[in-house]
Amino acid sequence: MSKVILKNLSKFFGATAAVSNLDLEIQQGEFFSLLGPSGCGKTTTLRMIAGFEFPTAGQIFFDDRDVTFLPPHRRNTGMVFQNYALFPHMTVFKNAAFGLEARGVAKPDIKQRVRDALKLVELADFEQRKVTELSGGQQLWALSHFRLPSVAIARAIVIEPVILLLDEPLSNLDARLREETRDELRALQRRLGITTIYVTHDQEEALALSDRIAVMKDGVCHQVGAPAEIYQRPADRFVANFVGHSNILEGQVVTSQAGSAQLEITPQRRPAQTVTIKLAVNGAPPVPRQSVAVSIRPESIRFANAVDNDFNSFPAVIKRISFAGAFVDYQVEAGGQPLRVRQLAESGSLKKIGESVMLRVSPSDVILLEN
Amino acid sequence: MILRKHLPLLVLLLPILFILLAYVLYPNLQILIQSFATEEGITANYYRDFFNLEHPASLQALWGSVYVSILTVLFSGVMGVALAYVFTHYTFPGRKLFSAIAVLPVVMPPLVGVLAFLFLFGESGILPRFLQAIFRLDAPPFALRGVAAILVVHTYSMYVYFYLFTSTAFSEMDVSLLEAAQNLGAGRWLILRKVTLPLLTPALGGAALLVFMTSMASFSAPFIFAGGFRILSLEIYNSKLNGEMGLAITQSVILTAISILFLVLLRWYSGGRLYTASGKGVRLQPKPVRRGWRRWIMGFAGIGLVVFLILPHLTVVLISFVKNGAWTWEILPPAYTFENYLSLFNEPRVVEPVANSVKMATLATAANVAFGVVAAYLLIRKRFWGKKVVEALTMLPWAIPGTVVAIGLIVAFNRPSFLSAGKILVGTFWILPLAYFIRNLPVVFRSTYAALEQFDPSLEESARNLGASWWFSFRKVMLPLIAPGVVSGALLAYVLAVGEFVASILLYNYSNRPISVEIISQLRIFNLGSAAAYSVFLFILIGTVVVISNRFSGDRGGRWTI
Repeated sequence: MSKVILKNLSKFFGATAAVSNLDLEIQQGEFFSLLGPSGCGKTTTLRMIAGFEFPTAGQIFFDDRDVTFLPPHRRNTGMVFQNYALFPHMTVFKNAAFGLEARGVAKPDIKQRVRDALKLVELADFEQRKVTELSGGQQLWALSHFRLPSVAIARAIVIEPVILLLDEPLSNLDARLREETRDELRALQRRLGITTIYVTHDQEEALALSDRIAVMKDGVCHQVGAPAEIYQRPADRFVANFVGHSNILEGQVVTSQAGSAQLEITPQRRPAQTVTIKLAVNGAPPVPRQSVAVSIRPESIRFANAVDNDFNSFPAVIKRISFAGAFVDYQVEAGGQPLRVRQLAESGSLKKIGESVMLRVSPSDVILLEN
Repeated sequence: MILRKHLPLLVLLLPILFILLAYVLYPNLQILIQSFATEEGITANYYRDFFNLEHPASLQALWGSVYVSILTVLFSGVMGVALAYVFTHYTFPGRKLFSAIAVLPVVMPPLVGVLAFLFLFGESGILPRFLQAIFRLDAPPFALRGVAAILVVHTYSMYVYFYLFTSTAFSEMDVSLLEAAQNLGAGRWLILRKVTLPLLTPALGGAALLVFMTSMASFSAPFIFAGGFRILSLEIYNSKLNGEMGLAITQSVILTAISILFLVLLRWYSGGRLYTASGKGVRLQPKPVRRGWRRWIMGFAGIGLVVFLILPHLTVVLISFVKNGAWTWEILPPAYTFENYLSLFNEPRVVEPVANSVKMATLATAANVAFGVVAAYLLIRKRFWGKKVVEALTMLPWAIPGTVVAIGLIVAFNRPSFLSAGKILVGTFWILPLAYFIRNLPVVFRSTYAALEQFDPSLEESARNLGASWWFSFRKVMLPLIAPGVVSGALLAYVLAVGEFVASILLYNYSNRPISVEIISQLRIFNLGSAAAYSVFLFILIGTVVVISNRFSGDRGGRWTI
């Protein structure tokens, strides 16, 4: 189990930067996710850690060992590929044994270790099956697609890697299987205590699985933090939008003091009366007259019965309703500003289109974004 | 550092480049250069001779080749598309058997096919004599010869391209497109014109160009049947025999230029017009033919087809049992014997050509495999400058008619050169394996390339990630997975080399004479039985290889080219 340090890592393909100046420190035993849209550099970063790509600049350390230019087969990382990359001409057992055979482990040892690993992912009964049998034949092996990631994971952990690398391993599964496999994966990682780097574009997955997340875009890391931190205190506009839904509001600072500020929202549609919003400020207070952006999560906006001065209160009109079972999404307009509001669906609480409502937002739920 | 980084690439690339430059590019360049090198220095005299309207032999030959090729495209197109349509749209008794037999011409080396037709329909063939006897005529009522004979043989052997291309297109066609057109109110005729035909165009165009090229390069059929009719590939051979090397070279340049032009057209055409189905789509389901009389027609047409396709093979087998010299005027041979086959095993003079062919084909194929694997690996996995050139040079022999390959080797290696280790290659044993190697370069390369393309690079990465060295992962992962492609390519190349005739007839000497050349010599001294026995040996070899290769490549069966 190693700690992984990326120092000022950059990778150029021709003139385009896939990754630029990435600095990360992944702790021993941590489940760390690289989250971002496709093309953000997360997979390139993972491939550099695995040794399939060499960085244009910067260094990679496993503990104190500089592995930047070490060939992949000498890094002792276990990787699960997006398409699993299972050897189609081998059985489940042979696939799992491959890494040990490559290391020249003695036959009886291989047998024992592979059996143990397959047991761990509940594949003990399948070891003599060819992997193509697991995926092919839709009717006969209805459950089997779900087994493929397990084979890939068993193959990766049987070599007792210092780091487990996962490249969107769940993206080929349907929603229900994805959730089940996700939970099993998390449990397995906890049990083995192995440092794990997980690449995904699915924010929900990253939030559910990770100890910490790095949110990336265009090769740049926008924020690193625990899931709750990323969700509740997004650093900038990109993170606020990419992780969960956000209402991003532009405005001008009216007053500002230590711990709090007030801003006037620039309405998207005129003419309309402007809305003033109070917000809690953690860091340095913004300068008056400065243009800033804030983010408000749809679920932190509530319907209220009356104006409450401890909160931000403002009137709005319901424009659209979409009922999603557990909750209801409202599209409302307040002071020329469209907003998204999410409420738990309690019986009898449904609003109607055109209805006037009072909205309530706690100042601590209004998050000031960098630029 | 830079050298170390590129060393593996260079070690692999340099031999490939050497082979391509020395044995593919150099002979062709020599042909081009020598076509201008006349006795009066560098002039275009040979070309003036070629296009001389007062002695238009070469021009006639050029026109003859084009004429025959256009008609070949037409006839094989009609036959291939009709068969493909019927087999993909309808089910009827015997459909499976018929569609299997439809690719039978593939297991017929071109020269043998020509012989079969000669025995069957030629001047003293079985059918004309049969009709003569039945109707008590003074002379056979017809005999296949000249252009008609060439066209029949060409259609027989080349309709398969149209058949395979079109049936693939039909079976990959998304029926929901036709249904969508119907739903939008289009009638049958409009659908055919606006939807079906455009979807088939790539297949039809590709097959047409391929057939045209193959027909332009065809040598065996004109060699036996042309008579006074001039065909360019044959004219090259005649010019060479007459000692007019300059003219032969110039004719080669023209023929090659046309071939390359068509190859370029083919690539451009198939590159721009591939419609890949979006989504899963609905595949065509053949419907049963229900009405009684249609079933009968289908049945008779099917039997007629089977007879047409299988009769040549049967004829050759029959004649292989004929005692040499015993068959003169009878409809069917009067006396049969196993002698021809026995001598294949114990008479050294008869065994020698078989041994020669097997030995030379083995050498050439081994070299083809080594070259094909390395070249395909380099082109798919490595980035280097001049990739396109390497690929183009590797595929070039495909566009060069066998006759021209032979002329090129003669021109390039009829004097000592460092490319041939300071030896004169022409007239030695090695010139033939070299010719087979060059002709089959694209065959093994293509199949290996296709197999490697299918090979998911993440499998190799995954092996490396699990701690395998490059060599370990090559042996355990890549090799087992690409082996089927390599083996089927190698088998095809081997079969082509064993039966090769076109280049052999120009390059052989008595001590390395291959089977095909011996077949012709036996025919000349009227030893029909011996000629046919050699041919049957080739059938069996090719049949075995097709079966093995289909085992290896699973569902890819039938995608054979000749």
